[in-house]
Amino acid sequence: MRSNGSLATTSSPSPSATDAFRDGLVETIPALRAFARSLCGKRDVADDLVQETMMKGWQSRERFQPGTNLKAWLFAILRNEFYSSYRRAKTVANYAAMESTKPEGVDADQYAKLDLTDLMRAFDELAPEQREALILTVGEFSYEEAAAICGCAVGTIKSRISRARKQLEQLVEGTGGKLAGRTQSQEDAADVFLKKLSNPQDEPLR
Amino acid sequence: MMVEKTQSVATEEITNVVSHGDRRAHQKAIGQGLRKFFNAVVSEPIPDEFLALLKQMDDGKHGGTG
Repeated sequence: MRSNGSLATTSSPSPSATDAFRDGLVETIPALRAFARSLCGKRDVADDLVQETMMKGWQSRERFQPGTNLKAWLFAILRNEFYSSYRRAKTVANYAAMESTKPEGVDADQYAKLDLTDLMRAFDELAPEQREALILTVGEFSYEEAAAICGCAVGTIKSRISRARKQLEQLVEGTGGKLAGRTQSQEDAADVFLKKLSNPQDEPLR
Repeated sequence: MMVEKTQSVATEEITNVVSHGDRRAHQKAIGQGLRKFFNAVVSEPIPDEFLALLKQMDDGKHGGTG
């Protein structure tokens, strides 16, 4: 019936293919959780999104072509699920969870422990398109794979990353925050820079 | 000692006051921080609810395409 990719859809995949799919799905859960957390901000909202993704992926498993990148396939499903809820959230005013993505509770504690509070606060200010471009390429995927997952051109991914990084730097340094992972000498340079920038009138970004 | 010139393409204020060296350091820190965040979530144990969902899948409750 369908014009594309419908060859094997009349019969169920073999048990071994199903097992392989399941194993791949299980292996991908941690990375899916990290990707979801970066999009949603909140742990419980993110985990719900991953579970929706798992169910969607499982139900659509016959459409997955063995030998292609299962992780990328699942990331694309998660992304689609996120944007459809995100669009819904934008029209439904009382769905506050998606709109308020500030780290809090357990996540805030976690960020503090990792020395990432300022960076992640700034990260949550970015548009979701920027967050996903950053996280996909910092974690798991090449620019090309990230572009395929997001359904856009490689150049678009690159420019989103570049703009996002510039914006992150401004947000973190502009609020007098700090970026995790600096060496001591870099810290000194940044302190000098911060003193130059510290102007209380400009401060409140949130 | 390097004397860094401010960037000529100053589209935003920050490019005027941050040296190339500092910007490199900041950008490196951003990359490291985001990777640290990602890896921290990846290394979290998988919550029970996920395992319960997998079991449901195995039991065929969510099987099929319909």
